[in-house]
Amino acid sequence: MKSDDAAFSEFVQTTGTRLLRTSVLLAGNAADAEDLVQVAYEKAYKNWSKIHAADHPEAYVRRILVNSATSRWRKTRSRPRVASDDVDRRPPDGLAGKNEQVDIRGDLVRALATIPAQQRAVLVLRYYCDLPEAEVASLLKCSPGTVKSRASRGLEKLRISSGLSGYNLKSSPANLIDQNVRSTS
Amino acid sequence: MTATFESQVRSAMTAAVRDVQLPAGFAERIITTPKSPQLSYRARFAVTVAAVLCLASAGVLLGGEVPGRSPDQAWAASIASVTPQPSDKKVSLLDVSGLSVTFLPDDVRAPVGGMSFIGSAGPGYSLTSQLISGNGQAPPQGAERPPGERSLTVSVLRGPKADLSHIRATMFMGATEDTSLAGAPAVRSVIKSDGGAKHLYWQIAPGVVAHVGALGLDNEEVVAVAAGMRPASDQVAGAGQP
Repeated sequence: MKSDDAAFSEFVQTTGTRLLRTSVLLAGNAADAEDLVQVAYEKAYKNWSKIHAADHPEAYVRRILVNSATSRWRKTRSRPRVASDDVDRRPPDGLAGKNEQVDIRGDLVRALATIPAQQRAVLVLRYYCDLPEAEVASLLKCSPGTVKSRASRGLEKLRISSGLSGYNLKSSPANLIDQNVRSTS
Repeated sequence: MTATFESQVRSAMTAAVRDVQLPAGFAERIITTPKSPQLSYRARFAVTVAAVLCLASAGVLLGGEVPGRSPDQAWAASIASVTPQPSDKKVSLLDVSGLSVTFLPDDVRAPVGGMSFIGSAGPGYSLTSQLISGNGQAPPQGAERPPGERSLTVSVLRGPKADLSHIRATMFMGATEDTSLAGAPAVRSVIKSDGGAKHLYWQIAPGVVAHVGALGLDNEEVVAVAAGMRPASDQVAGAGQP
């Protein structure tokens, strides 16, 4: 039993931050995200011996997480709350004049929180978790075609509501963020 | 363009949650939380159904005012307890929760034949209603009323919507005029629909409204019917007095 606990603890240490970040994007705010992750891990812990023996325990917990986020949204029928504190709005060191990038992140997360849960889940799994379409389809129990159409609709909504298309993105956010990471590290 | 936007989304997502870290001791928190016994979906469903049935049988969910009896059962009991009294020409209308009113037909010169239950007033109301018609039968649904027919419907409405302002706004869409009956606020319908029926509602108490609907009677007669209705406690002391 103790070895099971140790293995579980190690599993949480390894995967927790990744899943929590996914959860923040799904839930739209840190408090709900932490609740979702805790629920997912609790469920996993109850069946740990079975999950531990599976090939991809993290995929199992991620599935619980996504399902919990979607069903929570269905129950409340409200969009996730987005607390402004949950989004990193600080001007990165060395990029004090690049507030535009911070605005983009905030706008994106806020816009993400306003699109339907299924589309949000697809976008997060596809573009944050970098899962292939087939795996997203399997996780969400839908067809790859549905994943494609949800991703397309979700991106379109993001494009409209986040106002990203209005930014001057001559230097791509990826580049700026990479610079930022380099300058802070 | 789409590929560029996708890469922007990807980067922005990564950057937005870059500083999010799992709190320390998260795993320990889960491990040390005592496991609560979890019921299966089927067991939870069974428990829910049992609870609903218990509440329903207690009359809580169905809005029955008599614990242990559904409104329909209470209605049946109420109707059974109504007895025409031809000797003194009084008809006692007893509602489900004990408020009884006395209709004195002589005062309004309305023919009293028989009585029949005519239905409920919809959500928000608990209704006690009696139809007193010339031939003693409730008219069939959609049937033409014989010319010159005189009939009366006497009701007591209870519940959160049993309020004159609500009746004014919803039942007649404002087509009412304010009046009073023995000092109590009342409203009278002024619409010409419903086969020319006249309706008078007056507030007996908060959440309790009495109603007289009449066909073939003029306003004075309707007021006289209303004035002839009494709570049961007044029946002995002063029947017939407004």
